[in-house]
Amino acid sequence: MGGPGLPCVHCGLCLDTCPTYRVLGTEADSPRGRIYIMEGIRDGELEFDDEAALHLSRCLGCLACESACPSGVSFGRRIEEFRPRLAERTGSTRRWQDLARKAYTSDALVDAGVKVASLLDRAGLGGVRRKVPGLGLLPGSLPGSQPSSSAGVSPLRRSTSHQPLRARARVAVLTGCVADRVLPDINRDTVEVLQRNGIEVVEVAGQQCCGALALHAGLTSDAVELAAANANALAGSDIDFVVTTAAGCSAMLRDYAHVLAGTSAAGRGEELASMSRDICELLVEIGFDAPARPLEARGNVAFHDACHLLHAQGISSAPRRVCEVALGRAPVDLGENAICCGSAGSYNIDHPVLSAEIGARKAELARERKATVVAVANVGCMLQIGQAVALAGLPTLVKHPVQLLAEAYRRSDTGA
Amino acid sequence: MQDNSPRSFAERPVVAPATTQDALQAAPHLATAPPAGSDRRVVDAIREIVGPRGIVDGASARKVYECDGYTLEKSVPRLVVLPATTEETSRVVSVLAGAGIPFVPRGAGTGVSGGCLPLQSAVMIGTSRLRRIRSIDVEARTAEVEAGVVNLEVSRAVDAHGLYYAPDPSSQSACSIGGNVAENSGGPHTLKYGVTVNHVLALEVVLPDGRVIWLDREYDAPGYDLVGIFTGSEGTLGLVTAARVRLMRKPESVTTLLAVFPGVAQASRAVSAIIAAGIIPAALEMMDALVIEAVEAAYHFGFPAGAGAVLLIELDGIAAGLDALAARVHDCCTREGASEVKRAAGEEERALLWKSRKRAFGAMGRLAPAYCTQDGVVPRSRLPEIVAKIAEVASRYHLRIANLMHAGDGNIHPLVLYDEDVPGEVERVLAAGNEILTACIELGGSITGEHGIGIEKMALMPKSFTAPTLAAMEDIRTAFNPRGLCNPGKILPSSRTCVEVRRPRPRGGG
Repeated sequence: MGGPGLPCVHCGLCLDTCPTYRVLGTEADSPRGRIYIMEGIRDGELEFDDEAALHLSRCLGCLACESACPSGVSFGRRIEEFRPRLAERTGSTRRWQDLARKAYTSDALVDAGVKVASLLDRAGLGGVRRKVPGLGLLPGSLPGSQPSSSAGVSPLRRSTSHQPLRARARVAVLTGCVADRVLPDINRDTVEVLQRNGIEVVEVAGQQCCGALALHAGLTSDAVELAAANANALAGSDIDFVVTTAAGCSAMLRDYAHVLAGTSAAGRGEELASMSRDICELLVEIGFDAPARPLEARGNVAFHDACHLLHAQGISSAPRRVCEVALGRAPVDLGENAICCGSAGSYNIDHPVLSAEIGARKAELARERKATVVAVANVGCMLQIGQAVALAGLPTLVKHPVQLLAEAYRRSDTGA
Repeated sequence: MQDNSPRSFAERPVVAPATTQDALQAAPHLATAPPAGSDRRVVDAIREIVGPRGIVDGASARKVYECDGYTLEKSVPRLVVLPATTEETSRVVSVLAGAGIPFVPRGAGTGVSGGCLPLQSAVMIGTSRLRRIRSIDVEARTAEVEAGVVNLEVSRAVDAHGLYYAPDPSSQSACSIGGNVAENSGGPHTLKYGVTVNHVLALEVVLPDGRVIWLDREYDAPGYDLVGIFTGSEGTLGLVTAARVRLMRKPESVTTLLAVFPGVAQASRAVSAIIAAGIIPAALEMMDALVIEAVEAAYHFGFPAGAGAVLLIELDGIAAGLDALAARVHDCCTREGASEVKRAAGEEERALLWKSRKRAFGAMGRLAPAYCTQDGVVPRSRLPEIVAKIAEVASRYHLRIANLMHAGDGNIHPLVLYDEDVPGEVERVLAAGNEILTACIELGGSITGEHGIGIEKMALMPKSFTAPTLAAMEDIRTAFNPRGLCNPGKILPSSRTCVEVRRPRPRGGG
């Protein structure tokens, strides 16, 4: 059984790690089933029709199956090869392509979305808005979400208050195309935390969206173009690390050698891949200060893993460690931590019903754990879980671990 | 012929007993084409019962059900039904029985003997949506779980109470309780704790005519031990929809040793030595050089290079005395030629050791594009003989065969590596497997320890049992499954007729 990477031996150990299989129970919506369909199409035994496309497009790309696979099958690579053909087939994917392209080319669209969401929420239509694909994910101003007061100006360009005089390291923060518009507090807090720990944050001109959105939307050439621009801008500059706060972005940067293989930017791509770090990973790697007064969260802070950290990059202890230092005690696990929350980029728009069903389980777990805060180190998961807990009527807040740490530092400053 | 009209749950069909052969001939045509014509009414009736999410009728969605973990033979079901409740299951079975259409139960599809291969254009009934844990009784240490609940999920659900579900097949993170019951699954801890049948107290079963019954033996129920008959019947007597299982208290203390040997012969002797010393380990597993190579590639545990075989020995019980026991096991291994015996330092190292063992099957993909898992049993004392035989067969057929064994109970798992693209290789794999299993019989063992007969080993049944014994088995099946509609063409060779099995496709390139 050929295809990229090692062969699938059909053992089935991936099945129960797949969020869509867990919800639907259909083999065609499991990793093993999808591999079978892709091989059937390749060997001419199956037609690449709407039905096959539906099952393949339902893949969240969470890669939990790769963590579970004892044979080392590269499921992500296999489905990635199908993405452009999938995009051709399905209308919803084409709509998403347009939207994705706008998201990483124009800040205005995302800003407008955030504004509309806030307006609807203030008009008392938040409950309805929460159910609209795409719009429902935006944080708006419902409880359980952070007000996006600072939309409009990238926080990176405002935060110099804590810039160290003598830096231990110089880093660039990849601001992210969507995260920076929707939840700008994360980037602001990231810059603050880095600077408070003696790390200089520099701006590098010419950085772009990482290209993951484009790649997953099947816009491969756009992705390569964005990756090349980043590789040339960042790998060539005088910095030690490129830091991201979104798991999908760091996973993408780490994959640049593959994305840019065969292009003139391949060497730079490889260099950038080796420089890229998730924010929590970097903090743990080079060390960070414990706040004098950790946060006192009433109730439980429940930690959830982001698939693109856990499965795509094997990062699990660093974000937990950051939470632990910020809180002065270890967070509990939300439960089913290796199972995707259903966010997965465009998923909420392409498969709104399935996405909501998968997300609802996270709200159920938050309720079971009596979680006052769910900590998760990725903006997509934050929005998805935020929407799920809001729809479930829970008062649970959703925070990035670096936000908890920044809050703890500020609390220590004021002595409040 | 039967009346083809679907019947409701309320008016269950009264089935006229017929011979298996009649039933087989009544079963229609068409393996791959979507259901059509007179089938349409049946499909509509089923759709009515299970709703759109419970029915799989598209070509690609059905094709993925053409095999389970046994990939040498394939057949596409004409329809896949995924009921969400026992009642839905019962009504679906009633409709199918009324129309005389055969059906095959399927759990997670992790089986390795083709037990859920849909023969005779059977409709597949999957249990993947029967996933509720209905109740947990901590005091009585039992849980009632539906058939589709994943094995490991049961242990997770009761973990906080210090309890667990003991049978632990290698696929426990994916396989389901219903499938475990059908195959009477074992696992590494079989040696001390027994197999599935030792942990099932009661079963909820949908009989092949749609009736729902409970089989209960919890308090030494009088009458026949029907739970015992159903467990391991591979879905040929009916469809299990739920089970009440026994939960065990987690042992106070556990320790795991890894003993490295120059070859499987020395390791086999150590196995007998340990048992002869009066020690019953919780698990006693063997992996040979090829398996070590594969798991090392996958998990980098740090097995010594050039190890010919390793034994994984787990001891559990009350903490006091466990160290002394470990020392005795250490001695046994050293006396039989172990070059190194080490004890897992902590829980993390122990977990990693077990991970390499439990995922060894899948890790074989790192050595070859495909493999066939054999499953046989020999008396423990004859392990060295079967190991020599396997090596001889491998060299004669020009095949690589890796050995994974639940050595403590003489259960061997030769993994025959192959490549579908090499002409004639599949045939050699089948012939080699046959020889190994025949050798197991000759050594006084059996042709399956835990994987079942399925479709894979039917031809070997007459070598294992006398004709009157096989006839008695046939009678039992006929008693529950008189028309042979439920999982036709499995276990007993007499019923293997009009098979439309497809051999693996030839593959070019890739």
